[in-house]
Amino acid sequence: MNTPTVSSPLKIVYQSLAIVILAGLLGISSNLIRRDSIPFIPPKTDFVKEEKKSNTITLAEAKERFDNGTGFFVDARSGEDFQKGHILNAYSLPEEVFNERIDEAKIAFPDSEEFAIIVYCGGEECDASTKLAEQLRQSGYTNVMVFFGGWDEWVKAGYPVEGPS
Amino acid sequence: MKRFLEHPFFLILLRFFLGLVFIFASWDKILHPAQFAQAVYNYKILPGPAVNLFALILPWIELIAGLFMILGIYIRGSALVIAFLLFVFVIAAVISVSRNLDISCGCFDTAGGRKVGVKLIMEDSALLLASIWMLIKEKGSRR
Repeated sequence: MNTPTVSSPLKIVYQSLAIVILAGLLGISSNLIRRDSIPFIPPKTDFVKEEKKSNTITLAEAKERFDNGTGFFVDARSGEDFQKGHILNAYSLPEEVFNERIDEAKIAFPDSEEFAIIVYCGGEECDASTKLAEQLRQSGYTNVMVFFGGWDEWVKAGYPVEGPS
Repeated sequence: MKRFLEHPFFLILLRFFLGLVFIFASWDKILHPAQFAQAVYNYKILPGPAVNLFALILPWIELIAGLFMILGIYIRGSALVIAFLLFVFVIAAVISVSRNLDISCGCFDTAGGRKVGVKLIMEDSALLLASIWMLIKEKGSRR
């Protein structure tokens, strides 16, 4: 007797549910025992909001530091975006190639109390600047700020830029 | 072409490929839950309180479905899970691209890496088609 082993649609759904339940149990139990576990329900303050409280600057503050030379602008976007246009005299350090480029960057802009490192990316909706700021802090920079408005706000305000436009 | 695509050997190859892709995809996320949760958060699709649970469980679903796929356990169930995940990934990527989000996809590497974009949508769609094909053509469990 060779009955074909075609499983019914319902059986497939049961199988997939079993997989999801097993995964749920493993995911939750592994998080309970591991040392670097994360809270199951995150506290209200999220990453971006925390960043907002401490080390961010507004467009006006960024412009002020730009004018009086107390800020060093670092562009966290891709090299391609940087080529298309960036804040005048900004330094390109794409977040995704941080590890390869950090040594050059340390020479180009050493950590300094006088100069704030002002990191920016496309605008409100990008996360490259917060990530880059975090990486810079981890590699020893103490004076890092995130300019959340980023490229979008800067351009809209008509402030100095360079690159083909 | 159809005969080739339906050939048992091709289906086995496809099974191993899909399985490996999902095992690889799960690994870094299981090792770095906090970073993966951040990647999920960046999509700004899930409500905040749900992000961590999702980030904790999703990689294990990927791992188990991938392993089962290769080991030949619950093949069609795994294919359904994988197809569903890919469907969700495609939708999430389309939403992000349409919102002009400039974020890392958190696909294989939680520490930055690839960006969400059209290329990612195409790759995920191709994988989605492959998993649907498996779902239709596989005859059931190997064991």
